[in-house]
Amino acid sequence: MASVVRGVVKAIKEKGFGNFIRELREEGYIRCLADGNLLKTKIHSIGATLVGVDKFGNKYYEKLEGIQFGRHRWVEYAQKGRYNASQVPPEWHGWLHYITDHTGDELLMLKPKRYGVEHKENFSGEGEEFIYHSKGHTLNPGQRDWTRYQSWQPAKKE
Amino acid sequence: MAFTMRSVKVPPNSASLAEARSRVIDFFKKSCRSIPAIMEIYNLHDVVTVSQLRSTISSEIRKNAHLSNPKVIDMLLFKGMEELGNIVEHAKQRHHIIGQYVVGREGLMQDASPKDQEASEFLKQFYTSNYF
Amino acid sequence: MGFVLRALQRARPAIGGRVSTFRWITSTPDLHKPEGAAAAEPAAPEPEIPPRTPVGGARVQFSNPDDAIEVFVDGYPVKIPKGMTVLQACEVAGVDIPRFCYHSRLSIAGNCRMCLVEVEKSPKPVASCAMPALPGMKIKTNTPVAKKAREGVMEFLLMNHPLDCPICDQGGECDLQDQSMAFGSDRGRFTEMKRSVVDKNLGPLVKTVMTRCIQCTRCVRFASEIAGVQDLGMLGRGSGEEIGTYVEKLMTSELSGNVIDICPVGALTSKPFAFKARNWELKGTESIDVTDAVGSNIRIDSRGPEVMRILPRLNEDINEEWISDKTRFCYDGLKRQRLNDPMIRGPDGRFKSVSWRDALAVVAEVIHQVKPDEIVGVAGKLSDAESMMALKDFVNRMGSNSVLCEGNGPNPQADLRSSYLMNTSIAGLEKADVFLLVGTQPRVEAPMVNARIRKTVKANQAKVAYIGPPTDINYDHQHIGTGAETLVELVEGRHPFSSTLHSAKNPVIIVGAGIFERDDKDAVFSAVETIAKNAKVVRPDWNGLNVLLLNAAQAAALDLGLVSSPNDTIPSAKFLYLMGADDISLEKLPDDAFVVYQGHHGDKSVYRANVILPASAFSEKEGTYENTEGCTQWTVPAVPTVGDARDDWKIVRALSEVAGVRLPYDSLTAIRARIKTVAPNLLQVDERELATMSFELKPPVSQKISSDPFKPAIENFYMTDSITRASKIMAQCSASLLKK
Repeated sequence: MASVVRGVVKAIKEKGFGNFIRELREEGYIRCLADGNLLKTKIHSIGATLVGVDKFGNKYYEKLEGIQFGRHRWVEYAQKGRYNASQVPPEWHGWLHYITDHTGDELLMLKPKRYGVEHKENFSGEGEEFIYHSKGHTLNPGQRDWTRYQSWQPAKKE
Repeated sequence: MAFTMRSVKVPPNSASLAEARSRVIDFFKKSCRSIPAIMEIYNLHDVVTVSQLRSTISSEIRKNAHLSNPKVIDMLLFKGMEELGNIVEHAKQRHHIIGQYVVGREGLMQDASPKDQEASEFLKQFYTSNYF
Repeated sequence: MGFVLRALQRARPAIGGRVSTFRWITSTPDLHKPEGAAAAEPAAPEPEIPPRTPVGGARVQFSNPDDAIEVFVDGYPVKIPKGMTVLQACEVAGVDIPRFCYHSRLSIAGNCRMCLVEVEKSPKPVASCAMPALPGMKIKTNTPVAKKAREGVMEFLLMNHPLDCPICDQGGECDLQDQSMAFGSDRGRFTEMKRSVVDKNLGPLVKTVMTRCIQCTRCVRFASEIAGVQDLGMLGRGSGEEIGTYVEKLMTSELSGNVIDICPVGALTSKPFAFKARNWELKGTESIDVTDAVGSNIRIDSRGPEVMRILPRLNEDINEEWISDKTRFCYDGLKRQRLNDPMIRGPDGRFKSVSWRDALAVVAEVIHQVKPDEIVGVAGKLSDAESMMALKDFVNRMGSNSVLCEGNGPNPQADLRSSYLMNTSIAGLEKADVFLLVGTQPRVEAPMVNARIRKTVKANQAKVAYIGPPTDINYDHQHIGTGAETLVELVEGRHPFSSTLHSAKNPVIIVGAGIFERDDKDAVFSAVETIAKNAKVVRPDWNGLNVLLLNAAQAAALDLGLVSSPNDTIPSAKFLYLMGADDISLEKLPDDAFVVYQGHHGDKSVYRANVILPASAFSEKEGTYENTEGCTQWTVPAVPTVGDARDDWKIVRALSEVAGVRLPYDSLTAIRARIKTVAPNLLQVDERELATMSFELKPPVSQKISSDPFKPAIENFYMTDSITRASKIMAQCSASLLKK
């Protein structure tokens, strides 16, 4: 406990009080007081090794000693308020779920450059404009134009 | 909604014109009640309003206002029920609803004008399509 | 297997009849020992072979009955003229020989070896395409030796052919595909690496995948023999052999698209069509080309509402089996810049879409506000005869007599049909021995006519003299002058070419329709007629005096009497009805004139229009067109019209009713009945109505010939009308191929 207090005092000294509070909020320390799930992750993470951070800012932890096998890898989501499993990009998914021992940073190299699509989290329930609609769907903004000819447009001027 | 619709049965016969009439009115009310759901599932909010759809339904019913045979009315009522069921069950697609009930059957073509009365058959057809 | 059968039945005209008689061939033990099987064969009783119908309508003509020789094809005797090859004899007998390099319109190369047949008493199988048939020859096309030979040749051909079929545009209409199914082995023994060849850039039209090439040299022969460009050739030897342009250059020919058709594999395919569709998805519609006055027979291949490509159709009298690049690749213009809604120009000068009812009402109201004399109707160069008839009737009923067709120049002479037609006929040009081209450049004005002239020059050593601006002519010719003064010299017999012309047996004079636009055209024509008279160009058995028209609508317009002079009518017009007329000069048109543009493309004239009425293009309507030799042909709708467009004649008919002068026809049949009273020849479809020739009927000409040199009638071969001007492919062509 004392080390925690010492760390806090040191951090305030280094960054100033305002910055310290902001960092507390961004890292979810304030929110975790209300969110037990997050708090548990935070406590869990003490003494664990940070294996990597993906491009969204999710942190991947591993702790091999003193933890039940099968629970030794976990993620702390970048978003502290609205987090869900679909925020884990595919390259980290394998590591996180014990499919492979390669970390996401290593697997990122396998991603095809030309046609690989950016990972998008699942926005279900977040409103029509976020949801993926198939190509022919009315609400898909990039709906295909089936007109097979191009009509003449009257020019602006004469 | 779909299952409640399915449970509504049209009895085989209306005994009198008055009974048929009341059934038609019941049908109209029922379909009006399903309009919000229809607007929701077919994403019609930006193309049509509830009152427009309601008046489309009533005009579809009024098209057959001249009928006086209860059996015929029953038959049409059955067809209307079936159509409503299909729509509510999402058996159709958005463009079906728009084409049939929003733009209207005649609306895709150019509106008939009273001047066309003396126009020849050719001209009337010319206004509607290139192919005749 | 079913797919292959279907692909074979789909049978393009080029392989047409051939696949109907294919036989399944399997590797049976007797194939592996052909000698033994051949020895065993005679012992078996000869089966009775019923006579077969000739392949692809092959016919024999005996110019001299003594020349007939008899050969036996599979035991069935056929009589053929001397000099025919074994392959042709087999075709007459109804046996289809597989082939790659042989093409009936090209010289014989004999390098693919696919056409091997067995000939009795010949030690080896013979290449039937290169072997003259000899009397009494016993040809066997179906013996184990022949089958084995074909199978071996096929194996060699496939050795270096990539297994591209799933991604190859030729897939489904590929000769190699079909024939390897029918005649090839069911397995290969080749395990080494296949060779690869660098692709050549032949320009914006022809896509090359040279690894697929089987060195049949059809394209090389086509380029040098028919197209008249020495661009393609064979480089290297052995497995290093490849087709190429000797130095890196584009193929600059107006017929280059035809190499796509004659290539038996997918080495040369259409670049604009690449990966757009598969040939079995397409619906073919047999129609007519309208981009020039030749009226080439085409097949419009469409998928749904879209024209996907245009291919030639066989017509020996007009285009043989070739078409020009403009015809073949203009189709993407049909999908761009289309007018799809009636539009009215508002007071602010902006167009706004209106309904047909409103548009016609506006036009009908305005047309009654002008004096009848001030109404002028102009038919465009792509108009069909029906719509021109309707336009003429409509304008006449409004009380005006001013109807004209663009491109016919001031005061067109339509009294004698022979004075504006190609009287010799296109096929008839092959009999000529001297050509005099007056102010015409057939290579850009009518490439199919030019191909005929070239064919004649090559075959008969016909002499060609050309009067006009310097131009690129792809056969031997003398450029004897640039203007009308050379004509005067010829009239007076002072010119050295006069003697050639006079001594010719079948002289042909071709006058370009560009002359129509000259002010002294009557004088020029009378000079030409004098030359014709002096050189006996027109005789009862030979009519060599020709006019080569430029546009598809011209001949029919003159037949129907759309003969007003634009110089007189346009400056005084208050109501101008343009039916697809984009090339007529509107500079002299008064500013307050009301212009109605009826057409299918937003092209030049749209910008002057007050009302736009969208019409259908030639691929979307049924229409009658008369080509430059007076042959009437019909277009057939291949795709539906775009947007709210209507057929041309229907628009005029509807407008006439709204304007209160109802035209008495409601259908194409009725309008054709009306045409019959004006120009009955327009109803004789696919026939040439011969024009009678008479110099005496013509009034004497008082005009003087001016010394202006003749001008080229077409500036840019690739962009001559609203469709081709809208086409992106044509724009690319003119950018890359016409570059100086």
